[in-house]
Amino acid sequence: VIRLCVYLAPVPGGMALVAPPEVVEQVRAVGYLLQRKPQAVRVAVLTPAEVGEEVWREHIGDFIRRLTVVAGLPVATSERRLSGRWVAVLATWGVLLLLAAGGNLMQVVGGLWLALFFPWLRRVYHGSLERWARRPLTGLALMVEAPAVELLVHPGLTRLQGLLETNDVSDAEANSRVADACTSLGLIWLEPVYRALSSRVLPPGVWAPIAWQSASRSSTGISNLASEAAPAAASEAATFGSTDPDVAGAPPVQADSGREGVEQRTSSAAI
Amino acid sequence: MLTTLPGREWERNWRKICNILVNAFVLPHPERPVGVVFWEPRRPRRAARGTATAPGDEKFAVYAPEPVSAAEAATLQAAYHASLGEALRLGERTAGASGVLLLWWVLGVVGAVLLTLRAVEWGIGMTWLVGVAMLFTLPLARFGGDRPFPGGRYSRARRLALHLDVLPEVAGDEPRLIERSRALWQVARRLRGSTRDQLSGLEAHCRENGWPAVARFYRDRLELLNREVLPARRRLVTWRPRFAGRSNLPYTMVEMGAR
Repeated sequence: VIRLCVYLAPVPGGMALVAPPEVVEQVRAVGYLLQRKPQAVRVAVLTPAEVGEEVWREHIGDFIRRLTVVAGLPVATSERRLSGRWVAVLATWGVLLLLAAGGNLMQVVGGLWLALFFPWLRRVYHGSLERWARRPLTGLALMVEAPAVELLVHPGLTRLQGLLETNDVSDAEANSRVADACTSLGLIWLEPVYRALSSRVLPPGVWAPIAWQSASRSSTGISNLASEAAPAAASEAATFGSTDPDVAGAPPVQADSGREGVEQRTSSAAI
Repeated sequence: MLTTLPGREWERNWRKICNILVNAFVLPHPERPVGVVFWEPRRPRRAARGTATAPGDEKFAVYAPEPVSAAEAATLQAAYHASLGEALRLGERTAGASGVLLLWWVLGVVGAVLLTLRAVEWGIGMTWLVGVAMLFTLPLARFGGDRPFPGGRYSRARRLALHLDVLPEVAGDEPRLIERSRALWQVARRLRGSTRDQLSGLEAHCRENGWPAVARFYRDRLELLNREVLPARRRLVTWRPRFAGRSNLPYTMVEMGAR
């Protein structure tokens, strides 16, 4: 059994299921693990307090599917390497060395390396790396099937919720204050999420706003972001080639797959 | 649902012989505490010949100055699992292109040596220029190359991934490790000065007290601090496997809340 953690983070006006980019990378890495050794996945949803099942149950299946789709997208390789211009210069130098070799074997071999073998091997090697990076992560299918879900109360999130409740300020200001507190509460991955919310842009990673408590607060910003999130999810799904309406950003429906094996563990008992 | 794999039989037999005990530590750090899981599943006791150990002995032991919540321990364990996957990814990527890379190294070294020798006839300046230019044609790690073989880290990750499981998270109970952890925290609370000074102090303490893996962890943090290649947020926050140089013990690191 492999474990994964996502956040049920408090936001002004409700809560949001959040998987910051680091968690998306973790899911991708777990995909390789599952590809090598298929096994069950248990998703721990870190919450600020005991949350009723009705709040998250119908969203979690859809959220995990979205998370899996985003994690399964191919990643561009960003490796430092000699640029094509320098390779062209070296290859030209190799041709000139060959032309002026005058029968010198060492110069012929060096020229051949620079003009022919070096550009060819470089292209073949980086091509194979890129092909490898584009391989579909079939192991992630196991995550979509029937992940067991458990709820765990995170003391840092509890403090964040307290901050949100006590602050009688605008949503942007509240998000900004919460973002400042994230680091010391051991939730540094959530900091960019709250910063994005305070700047009224879509947070990085995967997120799904749920459980709106009051119409007055949700109407001020987060709900607008939520409506903006749907087309983004649709484009992600389109890139992946999925035809699943859930994944394509349609309104959340009953997430049957997420219901199986759901285990609610809301105690914050310390070990 | 899950198919029986060839490795599962071996795994079952392995688990009969020894239990898995993964040790995780919440370690002091100048900015904030970090959780570190070393890739060294300890085997608490060996069963007598032919007898199986009790399955309840398998655990994920967390050594921390204060009790760690179940959520934080789950975060540690999730990071440990993911880092093994990341190591497998890197290893498999290397193994997939190892033939081409090996050919690149062999032909590159032959070409570089022969052309540099030829350049000796053109003078010392030209030799130096040609040598440097040819060095750039080799698949050095800095320029996007990789090692031709996956190495020991990959095989360690493969071995650990074989008996991966969600282990029950418990507070560590090994007296020696508790004592070491407590002493380290006492030293950390007394330390003053810059981040670099504090890290050096912690490293020196671990080295003097025979805890090379943690000493190496602090050395890595110091080296990273000296390089300053990453922005502050990424410098500390990572779950990717880190490889502890000479002590050769990979580890996973995640940031924790203030204590």
